[in-house]
Amino acid sequence: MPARVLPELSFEVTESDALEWSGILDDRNPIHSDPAAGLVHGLGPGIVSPGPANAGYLMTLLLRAFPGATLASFEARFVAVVVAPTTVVAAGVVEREEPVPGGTRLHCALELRAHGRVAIDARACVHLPASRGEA
Amino acid sequence: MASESPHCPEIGALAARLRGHRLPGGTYRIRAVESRVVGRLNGLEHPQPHPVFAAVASLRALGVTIEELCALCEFRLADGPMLGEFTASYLARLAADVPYSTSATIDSLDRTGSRRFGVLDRLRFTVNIDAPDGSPVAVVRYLWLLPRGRVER
Repeated sequence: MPARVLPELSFEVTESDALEWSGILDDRNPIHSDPAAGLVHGLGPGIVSPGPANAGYLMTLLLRAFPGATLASFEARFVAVVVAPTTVVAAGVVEREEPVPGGTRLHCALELRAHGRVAIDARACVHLPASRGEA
Repeated sequence: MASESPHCPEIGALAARLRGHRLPGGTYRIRAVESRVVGRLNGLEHPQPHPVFAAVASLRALGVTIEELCALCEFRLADGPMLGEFTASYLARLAADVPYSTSATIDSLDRTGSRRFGVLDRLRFTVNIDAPDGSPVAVVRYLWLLPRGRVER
């Protein structure tokens, strides 16, 4: 069966968003608040968006593609930083559909792109419940 | 911001001391206001807390701050720890206003080299998030990268 491509989602990531995320995560790493800190560490000018926030954009792709579904697992490898302000694109495919008790498990491959390259390479499993009336 | 080279301790004794080290853990409650903020940042009006709250809970309820976790590894927050990998297994839906309890253990610290960052330590730790009745809700695993910089030999 060919892989099913999910509709891509774009997110504008502002410096304010990155700051807000660092507050939610209570992450006081200066790269998430001080544009100069990223430069010192060779990460580029701007505020670095926290990794969990960026992973969240990929989870949102799944929530949008499969309303009512639940996330069973999520594995992300962070290969490049996302420096705000920028636009990130969340993309993915359903590689395999597996019947399980109570529904279907979807095995997805995902990637978050920023600054013209892949920032996160991820895999996720989503549980899609059977519709009412189905076994 | 870091103004001097990162500290680069001898890895063997540090790794041995940290392996299996249990962090204090704590409790975390997803507040409705934070859930709404995360929804807005993701362009969602989602009645359920976003699954990214597994990451939020795991970091907010370690029982130590991120700076203190770095300090355990003899690493300064100002030297820029980076997230390398994040894995979450979800065993139940996250809900708002539930006092989740967490327990966390350092799995390992090892050292490798990076052309970009020089000496790079890799910290792995696991956080279990449980419901008030003790049933597991999520298991989160992290790999953090701690760049130690170039070391003179």
